[in-house]
Amino acid sequence: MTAPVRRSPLAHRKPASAPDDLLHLSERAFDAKIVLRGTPDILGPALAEVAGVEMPEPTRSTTSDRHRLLWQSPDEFLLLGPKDTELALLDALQAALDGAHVQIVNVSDYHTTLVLAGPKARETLMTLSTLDLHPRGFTVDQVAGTTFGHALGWLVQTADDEAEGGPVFEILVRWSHADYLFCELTHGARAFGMPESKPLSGELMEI
Amino acid sequence: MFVIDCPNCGPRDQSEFVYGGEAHIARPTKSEDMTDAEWGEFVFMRTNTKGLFAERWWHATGCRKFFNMLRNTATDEIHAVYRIGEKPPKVDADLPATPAGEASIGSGNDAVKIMRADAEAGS
Ligand SMILES: [Zn+2]
Repeated sequence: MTAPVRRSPLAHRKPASAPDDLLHLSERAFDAKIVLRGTPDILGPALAEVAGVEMPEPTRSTTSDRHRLLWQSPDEFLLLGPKDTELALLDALQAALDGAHVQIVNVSDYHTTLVLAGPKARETLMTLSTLDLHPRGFTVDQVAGTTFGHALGWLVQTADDEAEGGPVFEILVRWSHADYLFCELTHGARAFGMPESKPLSGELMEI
Repeated sequence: MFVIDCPNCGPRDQSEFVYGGEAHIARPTKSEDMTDAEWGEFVFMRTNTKGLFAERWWHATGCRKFFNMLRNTATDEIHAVYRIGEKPPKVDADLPATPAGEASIGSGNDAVKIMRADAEAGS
């Protein structure tokens, strides 16, 4: 018997970078991710207590030192937290919302997170998205569920365009679409000198 | 392709949405008392309007909510977006006559025109 180990969907890929820090692309796997369904007035006090976050306005997200809360629809919110905290979060939220008309689901292994950082992050996303990604159209803490090429994902800007190494965007993408999206993003950044992403093992993906 | 102003998410590309058919068709509450013809009317028959049309759309990639829209099916001009459960707002729609002077319902499909001829004559 071997001990069970988990393997992220992009374990076979190295983080990719374009020269001169124009763009860094990497995966951050195993964040705690909890979907909460319910009205903001019911969820608000529990989320403030458990994660220290306020309820976000539509199409926005809010943060505390360890958590980020994404608006996903008028009655649906996604709470992100540090690795390996999902079960503790789940217990705490279930206790705080006991008896309330809500749904709380652990979706930590449903999505993985791709992180795009650097001055060419916007332009790289523009190669795959129909969103208005002008700095006036998409700002820090903004959230959008949309498609990137053929992959569905949730986009959130986590650091300002003026920040050191910024702007930073994160895409929550389904496990099985992560490799496709990683390849499409490196492909989209080819104009900025991004090298082709060669997997550490397995076959090369042709796109 | 056009941009749709989702009432929850704001303006997004049409490719993010899925068409939901004609709006304001209430599901019958006593389907067990209905004849096949009445059930068929509910399930299949739509007005297929050429011009201003109230229809449902679903924001598939974003908020995943249905909402209603008033759209000119001849020109794709969107006149209003409103939520499920709301009545269609009054709009000033300057509707162009169809180029061939066709009936205001129907798609050129003669079967539709014949079945709806009485409705046309009566209105
Ligand atoms: Zn929406």
